Amino acid sequence: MLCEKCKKNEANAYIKTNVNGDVHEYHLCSQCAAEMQNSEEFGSLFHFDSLFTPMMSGFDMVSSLLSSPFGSFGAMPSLTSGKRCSVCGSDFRSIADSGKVGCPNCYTEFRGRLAPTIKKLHGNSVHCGKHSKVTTQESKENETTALKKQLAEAVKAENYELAAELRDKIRAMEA
Amino acid sequence: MSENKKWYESEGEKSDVVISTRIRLARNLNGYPFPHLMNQAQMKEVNEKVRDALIGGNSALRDRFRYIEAEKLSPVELASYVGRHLISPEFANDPKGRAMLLIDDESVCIMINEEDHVRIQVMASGMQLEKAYDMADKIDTILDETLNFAFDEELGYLTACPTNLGTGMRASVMLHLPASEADGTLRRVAANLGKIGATIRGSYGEGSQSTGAIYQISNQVTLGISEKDTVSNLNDITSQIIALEKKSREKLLASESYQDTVWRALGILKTARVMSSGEFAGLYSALRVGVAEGLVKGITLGQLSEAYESVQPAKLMEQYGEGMNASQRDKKRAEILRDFFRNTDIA
Repeated sequence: MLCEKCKKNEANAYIKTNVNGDVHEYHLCSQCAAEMQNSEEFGSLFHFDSLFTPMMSGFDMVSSLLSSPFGSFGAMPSLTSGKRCSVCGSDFRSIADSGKVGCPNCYTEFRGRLAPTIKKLHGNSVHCGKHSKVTTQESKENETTALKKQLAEAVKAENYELAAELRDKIRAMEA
Repeated sequence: MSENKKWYESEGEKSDVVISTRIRLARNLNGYPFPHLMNQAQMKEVNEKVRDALIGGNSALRDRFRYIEAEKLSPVELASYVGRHLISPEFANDPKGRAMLLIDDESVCIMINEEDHVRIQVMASGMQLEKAYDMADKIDTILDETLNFAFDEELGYLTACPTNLGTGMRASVMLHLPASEADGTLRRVAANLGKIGATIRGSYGEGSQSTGAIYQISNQVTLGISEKDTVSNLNDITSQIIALEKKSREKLLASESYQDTVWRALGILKTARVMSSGEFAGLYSALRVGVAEGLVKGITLGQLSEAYESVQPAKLMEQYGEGMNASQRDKKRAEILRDFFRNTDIA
C-alpha cells in the first residue's frame, strides 16, 4: 500500500486521530508520518478535546484544517489558482492562510473549495433552525406560487375538495 | 444608569451551582467584507447601520440601549467591560472602528465589528438558557428587519469563521464546581463532553484557565442543530453536571476540614486589611459553597456575585481612580469586602 500523502513511498505507519469523536485513519510512510506528528497543526488538533489545557481558538483550528496535511487529503484542490471574490477580492489562499472567510459572498464563490472544511467541522449537516427574514419571505413566496399552481390544476381537474384545501392554505400563508 | 440594578445582582435558577447563562448570536451584513478585511469607512457604515436598526427602530427596547464607540473608552473602561464579560478581550485590544450597544441593566451587549459584524450577547443570572435565547432571538428579529442578515439555506447564517455557520449561536453556562473539581469527578466528565457536542473551559472563554473553580460549558456544533435543540441539550448536560457537583459537595461538606475552610474564608473576608485578587478568588470559591449550602448566613448568592464584580481590578480602577496601583487596590478591595460581609455569620 502506498502512502496516502506523498503517494510515492510504501505506507508503513498507521495514524488514528480522534478529534471530538471524529475519527480519522491515515496510512503513511514514515517520513510523512513524522512530518504530520511534528506539525504544529497536528499537535493542536490532536489535543483539541483534551480539556483543562488552553484551548485552541476556532480560527486556528480552521486554518489548520484548510492548510494542514489534513486539508490536502482527498478533494482539496490547488490553492494557487487566481480566482477572486467579486465582492471583497479575497482569493482562496488568503482564506486558507487566515482561517477566516472574506465576506458572505465568498461562501458562494468558493463553495466547492470550502466544502471539505465545512464538512470536517460540522459533518454532512444542513442548517436547521431560525431563518433570516429575507429568505423566509422568499421561500414563503415560492411556496405560495407552487400552491397556486396546484390550485389551478385542481380546479381544472374539478377536484374541488383538494382545491378548497389549497385555497385555505394559501389564504393562511398570505394572511 | 448606575442606579439601575444589574442583571447579576438577581438570583437565577439553580444559582447554588450555576453562576450565569449566556447566549451569543453571530450575524453579518451582505455586501461588506467581514471585519478583519474592512477599512475604517466600512466599519463606520456598519456601526451606524446596526445602531440605527436598533435605536432608530420602533421596538420598545430601543430606549433601553446606549450606543458606545469603543475607541472613545479608556483602557481601564475597556478592561472593566471585559471583566464583566460584556466584550471580548479581542474586541478591547483593538477598539478602533468598533462599537457596542449596551442595555441599561447590562444583560444585553451587542458587539459591532468584532469577528463578525454583529454579535448579540445576552446574559442572565443562574440557569436561564430559554429566557436568554428568547431575548437574543427578539433582538435578532428586530435587527434583521432592516439589516437582512447574510444567510444561506444550507449553511445558515454566514460567519467570518466557518466554525460558527448555521445558527451562529454559542450557548453557555458558567458553573461553580469546586467539589467535583477537588474529587476528580469533573476531570472524568470533561473528558467525555466533546463526544456529546459540548466544550468546557475556564471562565474567560477560549484559552483561559479556570480560577476559583469557575468553568464555562458551551455547545460546540452550530450547523445542523436548531437553537431550541442546542438549548435543550445544554440544559440536559448542565443538569447532570449539577447533580454530580451536588453529590460531591455532600461528601465534601461532611468533612470538618471543609467547614473549617469555609468559615476561615469568612473570617478573613470580614477582617482583612489587604486582599489581592488571587487570594480573593480562592476565598470566594469556598464562601460561595458556604452560602449555597447554608454554612454561612446573612448574605445571598446575588449579593455575593455583586461583591465579586465590584472588586475586580478594572472595576476598582473605574470606580476609584485609574491611577490606582496594585497595593492601593488590595487595600480598597479589603475595605469593600469587609463592608459587604459585615452582617454575615456562621450558620
